[in-house]
Amino acid sequence: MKYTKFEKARIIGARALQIAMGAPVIIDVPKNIIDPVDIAMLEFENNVIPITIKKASKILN
Amino acid sequence: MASLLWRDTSKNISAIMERLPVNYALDFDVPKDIEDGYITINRKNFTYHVVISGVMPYSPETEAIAKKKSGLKSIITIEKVEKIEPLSVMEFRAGGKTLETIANFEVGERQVTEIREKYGENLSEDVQNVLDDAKAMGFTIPESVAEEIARRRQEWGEKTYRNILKRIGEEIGNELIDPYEAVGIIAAQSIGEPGTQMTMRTFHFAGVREMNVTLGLPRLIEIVDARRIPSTPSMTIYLKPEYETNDEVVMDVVKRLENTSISDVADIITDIGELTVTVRPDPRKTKDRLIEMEDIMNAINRIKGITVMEDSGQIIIKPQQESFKKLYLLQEQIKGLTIKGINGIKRAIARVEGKEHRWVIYTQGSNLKEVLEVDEVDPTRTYTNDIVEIANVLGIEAARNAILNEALRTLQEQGLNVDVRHLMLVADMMTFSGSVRAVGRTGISGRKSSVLARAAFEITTKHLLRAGVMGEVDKLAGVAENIIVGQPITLGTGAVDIIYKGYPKTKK
Repeated sequence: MKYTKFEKARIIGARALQIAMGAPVIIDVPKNIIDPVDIAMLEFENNVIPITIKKASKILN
Repeated sequence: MASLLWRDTSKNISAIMERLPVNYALDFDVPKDIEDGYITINRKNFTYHVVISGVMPYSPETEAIAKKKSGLKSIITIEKVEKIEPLSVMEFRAGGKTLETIANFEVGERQVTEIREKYGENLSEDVQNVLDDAKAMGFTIPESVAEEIARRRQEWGEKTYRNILKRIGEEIGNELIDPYEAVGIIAAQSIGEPGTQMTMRTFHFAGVREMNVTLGLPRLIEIVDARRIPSTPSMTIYLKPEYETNDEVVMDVVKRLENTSISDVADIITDIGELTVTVRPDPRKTKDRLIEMEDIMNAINRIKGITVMEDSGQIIIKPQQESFKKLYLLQEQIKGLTIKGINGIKRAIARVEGKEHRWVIYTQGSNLKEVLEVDEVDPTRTYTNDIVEIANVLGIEAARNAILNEALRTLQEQGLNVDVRHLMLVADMMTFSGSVRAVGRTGISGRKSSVLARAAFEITTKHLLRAGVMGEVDKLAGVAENIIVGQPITLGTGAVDIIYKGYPKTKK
């Protein structure tokens, strides 16, 4: 799915926060990658992050 | 299709309307093929339309209502008279010129303006094919580009054509920005940064001392502030193609445009003891501007409620009502009285441009409405730099384009290259409400619905106090108020809403 740069940043950021707080990592990562953001980016590239975007349906007034 | 146009009285018109169909005798030689006519009472607007079924020469035996008692030349048979919405006399042309008033009779044709879209539904087939191919690939291109491509498709061959179309699609994709991008701040920076490189130089029209045009940073400030009257209003007037190479016509138009008022050619002396205003023409100035004594007299005679006496080259004017106030008003009226020319045009200069020896008229001063009504002026190309005037005369979309063009030109003249989309955003924001609004406290920024945003911009206490007294609610939808409150702003990542979607099947 084609994400805008903002959506991509949000998803990776939210996943990195979860990993940093101890969530189980879905794919196998090499032992030398320890930064949560790097791990989240790896998960994003493999398309395994269970987070997606809900298009805004309410109009901000 | 020519129509008969004439001036008449309501008495005659009522007499006609009572006895339809009726013969009407006129003191004018009506052409045989006239089928309809328009009647004006006030010489400026037509208020009645008549259907004419026959024309015959006058003879006393034929039963007819007579317009006048004598001098009758033809009889027209009127079938129908209908009252219409006032139609300006100036919509008709007779003898190659636009009519200004109807004194007695005219035979004229109504000017019809055809408005066509440049690329309407009549796109040729190959252009339509290019557009369809582009759409199949997932993007749309403007018709002018499609036209160019269709034209050269044969010489390229099918494979190159497909490649080119694909590349166009990719380039368009690269240029598109993501939704929720903070375009406002980017546009502001993109215009502001080159602004720091602009100079404050004014441009001198070679050889002509008075015709300065504001350039550079002061001009950009004027545009963005939506100033009512720019500091150097000027018009660029093009004449219709049939006149623009004719030296005599051009010079005549220039003379007709340049405004001369009484204070330009004469001294005005007010005598309080005698309660008179004396106008003493300066022979040098009158010769300079080709004004005769009778032009001055004509202008003065237009003022009502005065007695005028001429005495050895001077004109003595006395108000009929003897009061100091009237005398003062009279003096002010005379000072500003136009002898000839169009109000507001201080100077007009014609220059030759290009190899084809075409004349273009540049003016100092701007009056778009009246200049467009001059017969020889080409209304499709004439331009003014007064944006508010363009909004009044041509409409808000024209004003939007004018803002864009003026800002773009100002920046380009200084050698600065700003992406047109930033300026388009500014132009759109200034005009989207329907009138030209300044970018500032009095315009856009002052009308925001958020209290905190307005308070953060200018005059903090006034906005906060008023909001508190009236119990206003701030919905925290914009940028400034979210920053004040400490929440993520509603642009960029802050606009993204994430949800859980479930684990995909992973390969172990």
